[in-house]
Amino acid sequence: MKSSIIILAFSLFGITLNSNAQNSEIDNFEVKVDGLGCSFCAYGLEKSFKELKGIKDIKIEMETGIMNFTYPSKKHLSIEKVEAQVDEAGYTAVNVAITRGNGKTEVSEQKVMEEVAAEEIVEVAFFVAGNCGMCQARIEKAAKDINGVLKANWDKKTKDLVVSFDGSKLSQEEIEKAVAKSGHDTKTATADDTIYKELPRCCQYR
Amino acid sequence: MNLIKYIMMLVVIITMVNSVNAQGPPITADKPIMLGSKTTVVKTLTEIRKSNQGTFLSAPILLHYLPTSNSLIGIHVPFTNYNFEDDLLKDGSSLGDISILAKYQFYRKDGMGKTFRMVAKTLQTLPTGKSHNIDGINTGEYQSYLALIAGYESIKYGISNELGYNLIPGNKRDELIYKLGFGLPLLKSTYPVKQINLYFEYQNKWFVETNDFLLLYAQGIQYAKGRITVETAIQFPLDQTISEEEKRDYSLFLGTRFVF
Repeated sequence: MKSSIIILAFSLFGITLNSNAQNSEIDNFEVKVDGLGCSFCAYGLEKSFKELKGIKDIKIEMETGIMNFTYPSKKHLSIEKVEAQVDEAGYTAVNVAITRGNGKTEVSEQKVMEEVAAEEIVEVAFFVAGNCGMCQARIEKAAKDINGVLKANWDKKTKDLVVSFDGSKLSQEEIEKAVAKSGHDTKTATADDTIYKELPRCCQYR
Repeated sequence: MNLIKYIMMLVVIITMVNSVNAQGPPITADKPIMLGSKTTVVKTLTEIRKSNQGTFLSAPILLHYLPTSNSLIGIHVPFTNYNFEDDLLKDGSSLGDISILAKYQFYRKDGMGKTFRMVAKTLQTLPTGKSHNIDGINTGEYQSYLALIAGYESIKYGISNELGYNLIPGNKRDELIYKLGFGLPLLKSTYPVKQINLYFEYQNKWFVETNDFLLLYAQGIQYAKGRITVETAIQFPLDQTISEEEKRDYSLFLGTRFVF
């Protein structure tokens, strides 16, 4: 009985080790894609990425334009290659985020950050009204579309938008105005009623 | 008066539908290039047309290939069947006018869940069919069509416009053509594809040399699942200032598509 328990324990330990080893061999990708105006578009995008041998678990969310997939770490798929593949499919890669098997992360906006002097980078957090994943994609896109914004992340629970930007090029007020133009109120900028009413029902927060 | 009634009905239907979904390609109208490179589409779009001339069937096989994400080439090979009202004309079946299609997308503006694209299109029709002068089915004439397509596609709805000129050197039936199509989805947007779409499509034809005019309206419905689409539409004239013989009653369309 005792020896059976020991053998079982070692086996479980071995399975866990093996699973961790496999996870470290897989990179996880999240790509935000613009231009997916129809479900058949998503088919074209998936087809383009299936040309990359070893790709698995492709999922595409139509409403947010987010595509997730996994890829073997040893083949090292770069951000540039992902962006090129999206372009070849006929769409626009807005942002690429990679979580490598060894735990490191790479984000396409990081490369832009490296080009800005450290002392010019400003990070702020402010309230932006919204409800769901679609709101998140819209808010972050509105911020990132501004020249000088390096990073933007909106938290669904806290409703805070954390923005890193080049302080020599723009101000927080300008960013808040741009976000409000997409239909989402901030504390200092209110979205136009006409634009707000055009938001999908699940996004209407007033 | 009838035209105003139909336009008002269309406006009411569009304002009533308020869903956020993605729709597929139009049925009788055309659209910008939306699929990725190295994609093949095999389609059929059978038309059964009833007019004062007779009852005609056109059952083409359409083969489209996208060598790049912004270009498309295709060939349309139709089988036709014709039954004339005039007993002096012989009924029968034959190969119709084969067409070769090429499209090039020269403008694209993408947004989240939406895109606006513009495409140049040409359709060269060869005189492989019988000379029965059945517009768009069997003319036995060489035809050269050049057009511009502008399309807005989003997960809420789609609008496609096509403006083109069809040159028929052999006779006086050159056409200035304008097509306008609206697509409205009925189901929530998902991927893999599973949708039902409604289509409202207008087609204007102005025969410039004879000053004849044809305004057609098509009401269609489409079901798409995975890589297969089936669709049907009924098309009828809203206005036709053409010879009595050519006046149309209606056309029924039945189509399928498979994407590789």
